[in-house]
Amino acid sequence: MREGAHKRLIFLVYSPIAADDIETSLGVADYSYYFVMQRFLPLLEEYGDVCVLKRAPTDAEIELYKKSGPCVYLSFAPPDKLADVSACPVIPVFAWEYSTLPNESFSCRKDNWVAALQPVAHAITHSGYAKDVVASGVANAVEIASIPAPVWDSFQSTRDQRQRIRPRGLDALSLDCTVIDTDDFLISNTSIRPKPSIGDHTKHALIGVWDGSPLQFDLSREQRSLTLIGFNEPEPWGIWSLSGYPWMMFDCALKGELELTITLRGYLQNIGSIVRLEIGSACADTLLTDRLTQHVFRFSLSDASNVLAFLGLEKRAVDGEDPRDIGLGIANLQVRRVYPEEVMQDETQAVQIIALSREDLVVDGFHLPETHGRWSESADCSIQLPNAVSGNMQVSIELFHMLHNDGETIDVSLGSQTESITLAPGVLSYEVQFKDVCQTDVLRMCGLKSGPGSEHDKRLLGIGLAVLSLRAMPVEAEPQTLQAKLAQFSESMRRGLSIARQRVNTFRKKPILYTAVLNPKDGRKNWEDILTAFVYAFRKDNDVTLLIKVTYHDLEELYADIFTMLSELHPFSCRIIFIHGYLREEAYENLILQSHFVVNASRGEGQCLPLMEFMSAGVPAIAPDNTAMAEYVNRENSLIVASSPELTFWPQDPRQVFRTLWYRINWESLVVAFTDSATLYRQKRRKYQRFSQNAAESLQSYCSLKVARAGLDHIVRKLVPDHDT
Amino acid sequence: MITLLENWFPIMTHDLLIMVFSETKAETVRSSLGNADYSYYFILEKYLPLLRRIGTVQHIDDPGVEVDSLYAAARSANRKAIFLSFTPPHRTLRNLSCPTVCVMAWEFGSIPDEDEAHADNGLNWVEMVREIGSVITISEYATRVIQSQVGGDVSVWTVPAPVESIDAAVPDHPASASTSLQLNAFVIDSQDCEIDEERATANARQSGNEDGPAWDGSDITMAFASNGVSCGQYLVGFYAEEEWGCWSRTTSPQIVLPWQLDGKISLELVLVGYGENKGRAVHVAIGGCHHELELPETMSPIELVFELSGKANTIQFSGLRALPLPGARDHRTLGLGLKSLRLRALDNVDRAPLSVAKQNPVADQDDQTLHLAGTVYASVFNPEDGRKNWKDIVTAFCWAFRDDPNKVLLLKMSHHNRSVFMGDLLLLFSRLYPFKCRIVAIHGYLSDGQLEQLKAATHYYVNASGAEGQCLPLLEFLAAGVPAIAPDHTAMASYISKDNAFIVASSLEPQAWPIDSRRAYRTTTQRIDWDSLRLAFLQSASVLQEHIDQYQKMQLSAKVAVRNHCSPDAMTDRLHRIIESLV
Repeated sequence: MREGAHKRLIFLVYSPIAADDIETSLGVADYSYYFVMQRFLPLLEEYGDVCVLKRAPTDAEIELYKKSGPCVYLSFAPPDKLADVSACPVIPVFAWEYSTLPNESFSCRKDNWVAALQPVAHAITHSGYAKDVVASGVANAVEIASIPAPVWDSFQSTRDQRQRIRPRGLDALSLDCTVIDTDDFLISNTSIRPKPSIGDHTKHALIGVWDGSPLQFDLSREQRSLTLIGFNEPEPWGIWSLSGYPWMMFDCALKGELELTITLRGYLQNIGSIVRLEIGSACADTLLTDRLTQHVFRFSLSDASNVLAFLGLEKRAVDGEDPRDIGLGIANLQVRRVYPEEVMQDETQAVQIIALSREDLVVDGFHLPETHGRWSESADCSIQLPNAVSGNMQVSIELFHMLHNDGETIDVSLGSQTESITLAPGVLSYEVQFKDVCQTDVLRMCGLKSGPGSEHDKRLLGIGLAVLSLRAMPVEAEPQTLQAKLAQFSESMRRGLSIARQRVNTFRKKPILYTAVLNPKDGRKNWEDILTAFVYAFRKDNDVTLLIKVTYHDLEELYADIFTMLSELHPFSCRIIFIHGYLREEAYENLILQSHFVVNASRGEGQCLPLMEFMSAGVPAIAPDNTAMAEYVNRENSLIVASSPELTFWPQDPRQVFRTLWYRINWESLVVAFTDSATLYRQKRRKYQRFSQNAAESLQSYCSLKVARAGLDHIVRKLVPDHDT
Repeated sequence: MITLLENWFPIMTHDLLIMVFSETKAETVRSSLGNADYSYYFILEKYLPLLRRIGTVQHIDDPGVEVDSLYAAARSANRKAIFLSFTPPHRTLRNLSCPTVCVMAWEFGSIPDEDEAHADNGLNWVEMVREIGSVITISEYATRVIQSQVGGDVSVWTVPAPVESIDAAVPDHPASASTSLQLNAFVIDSQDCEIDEERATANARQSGNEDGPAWDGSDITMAFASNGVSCGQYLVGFYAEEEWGCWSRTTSPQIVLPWQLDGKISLELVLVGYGENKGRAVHVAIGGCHHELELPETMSPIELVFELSGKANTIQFSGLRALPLPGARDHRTLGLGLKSLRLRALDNVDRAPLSVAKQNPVADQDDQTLHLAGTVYASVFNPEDGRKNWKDIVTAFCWAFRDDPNKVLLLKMSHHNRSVFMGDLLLLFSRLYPFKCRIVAIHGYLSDGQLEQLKAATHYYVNASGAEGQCLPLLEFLAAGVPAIAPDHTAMASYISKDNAFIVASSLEPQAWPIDSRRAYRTTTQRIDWDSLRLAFLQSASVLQEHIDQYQKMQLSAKVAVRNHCSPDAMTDRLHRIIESLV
């Protein structure tokens, strides 16, 4: 020992993604290099001092560091991002899961990894698979080592806990992040929308309640605080929804008395039909016309809700000029608080008298206004009421003249409620009563006849409408209604309880929680196969849950894909939950503790940190044994998903030319793995526990500190022959 | 079995009236090649000779009007009658007095059994089949699927469309033989294409004038919508037509006109940009003449004037972005949407009148000779039918024989519109570049004689489908002594074996019923193991080259398999028994 003869080794380490932006970088290219680097730091510290650099170093900078001791630069980045430095040994650390290494330049010289690795003496990757690919691709003597990120040791306590306590699945999870839970949605094969809120939604506790300050949204631009589901792209005037059930999510939960002002219009197939606006348990019916019109509604929300949904747009346009699927158009919307004094004022104005001669009235199917009112022209006529009405209403219709309609029975609709009246010769005044009208601002008359006015007036005329009056009818015997409501309520409670009791009484299978941690935007992860296979395996089993932790920074980009997929998979009793957002360390550990199986169906993995973490803690897997996974996924710790090579392109190659292989998943074997895993957990308890132990053991020999230390030791000894740890 | 049959033939019951109906008719089959229901027509066509041996066949145009009155007339004349409807269950009449049999093809893991599976009317085939009561399928697989769902009260029989095995001696098939085909078709040959990693340009072979005919200067309008007379076949780098027009898919899509343009012309394009391409300035070039145009935000007409110095037939777009919109439901790389174009001459040059090509732009299929050398693999399919999975065939072939110029893949595309495959195929060429093996696509209706030539030139028939109702082309090639590379699932499970084929591994994958407008995951087809397809190519080539005796055994087995599976005599016998049991 030449004590003090040499200085401590200095590791300069760098990954293109820094700690400060990791949360916003989730899912972007190379983001996982940051996590890999984090796993290597403790190991490196055993050998020397570690400097985490904010950017790739230059030779001059390295020279400065060298004054304190011998330096080694570890670049946690793909080889094309390797800095050109020669002042100290450079070790690229990178993951790879394809059968060939890029050996062409498709956009710049650095694309060619083979060339980039030529001058390098040592490199680290994370699997024997990648090691072989590099060794056979790079002709020179680059010494490539496979050192998986050492994750095993840090899961010691989770592993111990799992030994003692059985995983309890969903019941034991508390997730303070964004949650998309199939239990919270009404799903059909053509649409999906949130269930009208029923009571408090603890899972969405992160969403604050609206503070009452006015909300304004201009739909011609992307709105940060408004998430649109089922819409096209914004246009200069506003936005077209898709057909089906478009909906919007506010970033706060609306509650109490509020006024919604919305400017909307219909499209082809929907013009002239009624659309229902729904917020939580409150709703309003309005008419879609061929032009943008403003509508004002009051909502009284006893339960908080952050969703505005549009119902009644199921019809799809055919033969439209526009190739897109279009439902309705919205230009803007505002929400404001309604104060008690306004409500009082409204009650004093319970009567609405509308003279049809008013110029500013929004109507459809009528001629222009005249002194006495307006003549109907079409069979179906509608009037937008200046003030929306609801409840029990009495409508008086005053005519100034009538032609061609003697004895005709017509339909009068207030919103979605319809009553018939028969027009009698000489009778110019009619009364119609509506009960329990859902809030609406549209009155329609359908089935009107029309014909030429007279010799002098060749216009098509039907009835001459003078005045409409709408009067709120006193609600009779309110106490009884209240009692009836109470009775109804307790009845539903009883029903609910008996269902609950039935559930308890009927044999309940052991619940199982399957967890996958992945970025759906990453084509390698193959989340579609996971979802479809899960549903095909458990369509009628309501005691299994698939939880997918989405590691992609922008959940909104994924909504359309997720919801389309859920719609296409409907009906299913099993439950699917997507969670999104940063999980605290304890929450993540708890997820590992409570998961029964971890799921992977990747077409290739460089190492797969989440799978390694779960398995290190003793969670058995459903996973393929291809690429890196071949080293730790086996029949004793996993239900193996079959896969075989398939032609593909290097992911970074924009030309997408076929140059390499990844793996095509055998979907049938994934279904079988799901069903077999359920049997394993529910019926072969001891075997499940053996799987669990085997998982921890397999991962120990793959990614323990001891294994990584041996690998790094070898490199360090070569680089610094006299280094002593 | 054969002795049994011979007993049957004398009993020709001409007092039996067999009414037959299919929605596609002989007159329209050529233009509807590739449409959803054309396969029903082919089943009928194959059944006809058999049915004529059993009774008097009468074609029906309108079953609702004709069947029952003919049935009544037959009954009063003391004749037996039966109605065979070559239609899917929801288009088979269920209220007829005449005994009705639904003759159908099916290849999915289950038949629709949901009332709400269709936007307009429920498509509960299980109920419908129970009402009809009698079904003939063309595969044992379909029969099993239907039987397991409809229960025992329904009679379900299997009668594959008959295929005659050719009895002549198996042709000699040395791997290195060269041969030539006389074709009356449009051909894209990878050997004649200019290919690199960025693009592939087809120099489609046309006989006669290499440059194609000159334009006569008269106004030309082309529409690219699927619901009309579409000119989508002239588009390269576009997706298939939709109801309104076509979306481009590459950064430099083209319109390749069947005529050479010259002089001063006006080109009016009705188009729209998508996503990032809205308002984007892109280039449009004809010959050496360029224009910049800003892609409109909504579908609108844009007129450009070109003064061409020479002749040119390609309208070339460039400068588009071809990236899917982040988060958009549509993951395709959409660039511009093209609805129609109009060409007008702006000069007064006298141009020679055009020949046939102008009046009928589709009729540019000319006689030509295709020379083939080496080992020939062939496949016949409808490229628009996703189940055919033809891209796997191309990529696996190419990866197996990348450096081998002595391997040829012939793809006979059965679809009336070449645009459904041309863009995809050229894109594949450029993504597979470089490769030495040869890939040839043939588009056009081949005569029986030409098909025979094709079979004779083929060493192996290739199938990589996700599901098959029967697969007549495969059977016809097998019958001619051509061994196969094919999976042994669905209908093929009944006749594909190791003796006559290199089996492609496959396993289930989730699927929606083809008639389900909701596209809901309800049933299954098969997912092909791509690597096993590639290996099958390699193994088949080595057998042909090194173990010719084994190849010849496979040739014989192929014929035997077809004879055992669907010989006309056996099928006549089977049909006769079925019909007798019903009338």
